[in-house]
Amino acid sequence: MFTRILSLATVFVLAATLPLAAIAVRGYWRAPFSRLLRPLPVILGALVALHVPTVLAVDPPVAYSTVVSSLAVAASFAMAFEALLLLTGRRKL
Amino acid sequence: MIDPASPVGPLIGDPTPWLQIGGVQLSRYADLFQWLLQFIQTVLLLVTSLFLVYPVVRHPQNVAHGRGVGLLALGFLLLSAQWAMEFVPAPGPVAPVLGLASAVSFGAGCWEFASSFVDTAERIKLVDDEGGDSSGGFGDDDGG
Repeated sequence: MFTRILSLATVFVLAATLPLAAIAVRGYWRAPFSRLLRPLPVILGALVALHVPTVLAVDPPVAYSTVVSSLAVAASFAMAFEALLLLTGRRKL
Repeated sequence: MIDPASPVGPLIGDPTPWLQIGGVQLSRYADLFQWLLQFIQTVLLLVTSLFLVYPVVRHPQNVAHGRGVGLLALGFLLLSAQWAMEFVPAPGPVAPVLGLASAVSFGAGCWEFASSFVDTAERIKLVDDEGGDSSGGFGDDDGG
């Protein structure tokens, strides 16, 4: 029960963060910095999707968790790799 | 280790532990693949947060939103900690609390990036003061 409440709170926070991420991506769209921000909405959406089965107290199919968590991790890694290239100056602008 | 008479092997979810390393029981997972995948994902999330922290620490002159990137890195660190709770024996609420903390950290980080493009009430008030109200001041002009 406690886990479900915390999961629900997490979903609310992530859902509130999603429009902020969209605004940031839109705002920096023409700047090189946007390459770093573009995966953010994908990450947040995947994390929300990971929490939804816990909130609804259903057991998702293994394939669902596998695909969604892989999506979240792949997008996170893409973002961090871009940050490493861009912010250390290795990517020429 | 696999009983050929039984169709239930460790790789398709035998309920009894078939390999135990410390507190880790592989039978808790649907199969070995799931366990390995989650382990790799946890490590990748940890690497993600390190990749984000590195430029902030070593090349701060390149990073315009140091606090935002740092908060995102903290979020990924907490997220990897939450996912790592699958592998260590931890009290029930620890993992969801870590998840909530990482969500809050993501939210704060995204706010750092988005705030330049959001007109908050104070900024709208300041813009209005500059534009329309010639008497100036900070709201004390109608006080008599």
